[in-house]
Amino acid sequence: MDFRSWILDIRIWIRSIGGLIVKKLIRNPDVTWRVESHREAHVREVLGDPSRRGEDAEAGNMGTMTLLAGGVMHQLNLLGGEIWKLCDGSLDRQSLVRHLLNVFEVDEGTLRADAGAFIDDMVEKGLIDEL
Amino acid sequence: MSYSDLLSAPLSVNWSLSYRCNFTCSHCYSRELETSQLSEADIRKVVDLLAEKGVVFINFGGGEPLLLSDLYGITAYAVSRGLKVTMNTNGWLLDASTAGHISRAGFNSVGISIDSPEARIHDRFRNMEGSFERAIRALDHLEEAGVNTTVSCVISRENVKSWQGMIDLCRDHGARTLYLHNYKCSGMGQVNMGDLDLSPDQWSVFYLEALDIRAGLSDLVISFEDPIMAALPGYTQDSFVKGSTCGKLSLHIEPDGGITPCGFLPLTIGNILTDDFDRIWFHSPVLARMRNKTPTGKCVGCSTYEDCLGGCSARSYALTGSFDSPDPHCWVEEEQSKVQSPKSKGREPTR
Repeated sequence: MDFRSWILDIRIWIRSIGGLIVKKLIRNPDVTWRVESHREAHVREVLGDPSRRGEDAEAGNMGTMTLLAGGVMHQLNLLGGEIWKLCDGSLDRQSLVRHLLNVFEVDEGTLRADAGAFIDDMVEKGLIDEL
Repeated sequence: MSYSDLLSAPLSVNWSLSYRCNFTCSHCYSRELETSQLSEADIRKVVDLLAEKGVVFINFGGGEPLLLSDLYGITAYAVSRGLKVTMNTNGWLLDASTAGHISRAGFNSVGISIDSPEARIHDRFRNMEGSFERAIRALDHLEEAGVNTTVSCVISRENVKSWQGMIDLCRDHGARTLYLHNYKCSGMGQVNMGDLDLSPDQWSVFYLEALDIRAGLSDLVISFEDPIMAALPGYTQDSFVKGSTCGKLSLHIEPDGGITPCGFLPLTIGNILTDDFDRIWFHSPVLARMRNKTPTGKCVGCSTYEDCLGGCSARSYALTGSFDSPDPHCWVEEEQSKVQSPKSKGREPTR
């Protein structure tokens, strides 16, 4: 048996498995964060009240979570804040979306796309790590 | 600013635990203030409240914090409650032993006041012979103790031509951030403003120069915030909060627990131990006036008003008794103010 090619095969096999290992999402521990509780309560009230449908868009964009990183302040809306809270290192993208589907009444495809774009942006900014 | 626009609580609280000080600085806002001080038990109650409300940062100032015997215990307690604690000191009392206490207490960083790279100028400004050397040694002691340091420099006529030398001073002594504070016309700052404060045009020149220098630095953070910077030509930096941040992102606590919008505004709007904090934060008439200013004078119709909101409310109040008056540091002339700036293109000037 060609021992060297056998070693190579193992390396390829390990790489393939590595590709299948899902990456978990975790908040950057250097980021200070806070839930803006009264805003969050306001947004939930608006979104939960069918008679206030006209206020949906504004409420959906309201910052309910404040992040402070490197002297810069970021505000996340309700969906972004929920994603941030879930990024505790235990969930990958797929399972995170499944969690969100239990919380938000929204089309799965739309949620997957929105959450994916948000996470991409947060990873690019160094606020969330995908490990 | 409506109720739902407000954050749930201030992000930072500047806390003057005492107004006692071993210095008599030329610009000091608190030199002539006298009030009682809270007991340590009451200070801990305040810490508990701030933690419960989600305040993130406490900065101890005053007054000289190192004159307080229980500073380290208070700090350690605040840190244990999840707060990030910093302080500003003149450094006079800060030796190696003190630096060790500071490190063990858990301070996030310590700011040392140094107003010039030249000892003579600093000592004159601070009215204390030898204070420059002691401040430098304080930086070194803190660095040896592993404490993050910053340098706070109040810009005045004394140092406006030499402040760049502070960059190398910070580098040489391990400070990570250089804060350039604009001059406040409160307390002794108002008494001495004729000798120390820059003219509006000098402020404009200073900010343009400081922005230029900051853009070229990668190893040191230079921080200077002033709402009137929005009126600089070509200024494009977008801030989270327009105008003064006082009363929007921060509050100040006096030694007796009184709350003021900021340390430079002598307007007590309640007491943290005896009044409902949320009621003050969300419903104080004084804060409401600061958050919803009405342009007056040259601010009316000014193309940058929607970004600067009239500038620093404390300065306006100190000199005119009104938050709504144009910032006395503002360099925009009455006619200029009506010319649309590039940043404001497409926006309606505020009426």
